[in-house]
Amino acid sequence: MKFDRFDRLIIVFLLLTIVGLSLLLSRTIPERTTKIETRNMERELAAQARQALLDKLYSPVAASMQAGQMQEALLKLEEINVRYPGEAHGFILKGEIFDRLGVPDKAAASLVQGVKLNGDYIDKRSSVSRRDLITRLVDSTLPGAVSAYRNSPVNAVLKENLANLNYLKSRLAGGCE
Amino acid sequence: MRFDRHTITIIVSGLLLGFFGVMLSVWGNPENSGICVSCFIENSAGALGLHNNSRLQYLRPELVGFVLGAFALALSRREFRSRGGSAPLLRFASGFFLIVGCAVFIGCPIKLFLRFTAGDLTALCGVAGLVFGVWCGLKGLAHGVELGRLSPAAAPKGSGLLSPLLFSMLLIFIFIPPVFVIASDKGSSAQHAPLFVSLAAGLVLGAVAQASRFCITGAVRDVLLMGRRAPLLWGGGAFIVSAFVVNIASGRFNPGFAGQPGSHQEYLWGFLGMMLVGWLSVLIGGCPFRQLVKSGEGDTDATLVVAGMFLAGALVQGWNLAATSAGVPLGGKIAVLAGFMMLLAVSVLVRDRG
Repeated sequence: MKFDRFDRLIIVFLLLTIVGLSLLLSRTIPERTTKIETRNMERELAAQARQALLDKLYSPVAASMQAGQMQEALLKLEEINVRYPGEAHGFILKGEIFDRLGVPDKAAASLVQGVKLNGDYIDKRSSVSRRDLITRLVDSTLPGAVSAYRNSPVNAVLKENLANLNYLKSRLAGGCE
Repeated sequence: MRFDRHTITIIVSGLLLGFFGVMLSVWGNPENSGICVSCFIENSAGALGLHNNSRLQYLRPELVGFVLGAFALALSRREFRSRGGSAPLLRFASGFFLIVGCAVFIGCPIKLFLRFTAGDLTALCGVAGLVFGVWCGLKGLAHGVELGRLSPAAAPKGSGLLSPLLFSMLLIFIFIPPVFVIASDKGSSAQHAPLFVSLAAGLVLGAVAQASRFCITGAVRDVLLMGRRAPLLWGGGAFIVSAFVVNIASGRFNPGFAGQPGSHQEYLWGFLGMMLVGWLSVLIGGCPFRQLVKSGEGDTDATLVVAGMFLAGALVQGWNLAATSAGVPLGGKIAVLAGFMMLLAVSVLVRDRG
């Protein structure tokens, strides 16, 4: 390929543009670092603010749970859930209460709703993680749920319970979602 | 069957794909997603701010590696050539629906076999769908349904460089992330192998796939056409055996239908999603992975497919079309049927009846 004068002119302008772009980019590096740090801080602030709000909102429920009054905790939770019906934390607490009350099928159903709304509850590294609770629930109840369903495959309740436990098992196993 | 140099290259590609496909999970990528082109595209689209699912935002270095590895090897072998110009809009739309099909199944054809070799038996519906889709595509080809041939004359000189340049820009974004590039700190995108390991694996796989023309749907297509004489059969076999052995060796083989990572039990939609991917792949000449490799070789048509894939990567998340362990959302089912409508309309309207 032979370059004529026009080509050479274009190449010179291309090189000048690359130099200009590099200069601009190098000048933006300090600004970029500050912005990224600010964004990370905002993310952290939002997470902590959410946690603080949830703690405050659900504190009556947590107090009843700590006192071992699970029925009362459930009633208080229902009151809050009327105001915030789509909040994952409510479903997770409900799952915890049902688990402590020894009603694993209802616990699984509530935990499924919570995890579907907010996957943070099943993440290992999340501050709100309930992974240990969910793992224990799945490990202890899944074998029984499988055999119960096999004995009565037309029972819709058993089928739904098994589906819920399998969903939680699948989320615990990981994958890209 | 003679094991010539090309066949050996294909077998090596299959072995490496299986090895890295599992090992990248061992090194940090999500379970059964060591390599998943559709997942990586959804992650990368999110990282570029194209969707706001905060759990799926990470610029995957493997993706960049596939294109730049193929580009480097094509250049060194003097096989880089700008070519294209056949049915660009249809290819763009096909790229879009490729990712829709993958998102409804949960995974590209590579991940399909990675899931299967890890014992995820729900992937069987995807295998059946992919094979049936490729068979449908071949029937279409036999009846004159094709998007036309690539032509170096139709593509402006140098236009094939666009894809390697864009992916080089993404490479810069990986090392010096601009403010708008986002990285999830939770969810599956927060799980990733070390950057240099991911990039190196991507570069190696892109290069060997360029040399061998390895492609999952291409392997299925060749087997359906040529039977045991197809060299890609050996590559596909090597991939499956390699992935299976590494899965067992790393303790990741858990056979069963229920509770598998990143899978659902809506088998019909898993089948249809992969059928759509198989059929489209025959029409446009390769699976999502092959499209990335071809775009690195200067194929501008494949670059348009990749652009369509990125748009879909954003929209399957933004419009809630992607399946999860909970199942396939209604929007995903509608999108798959829309993909079939496009395919069927193309089969009638674009058919060469001469």
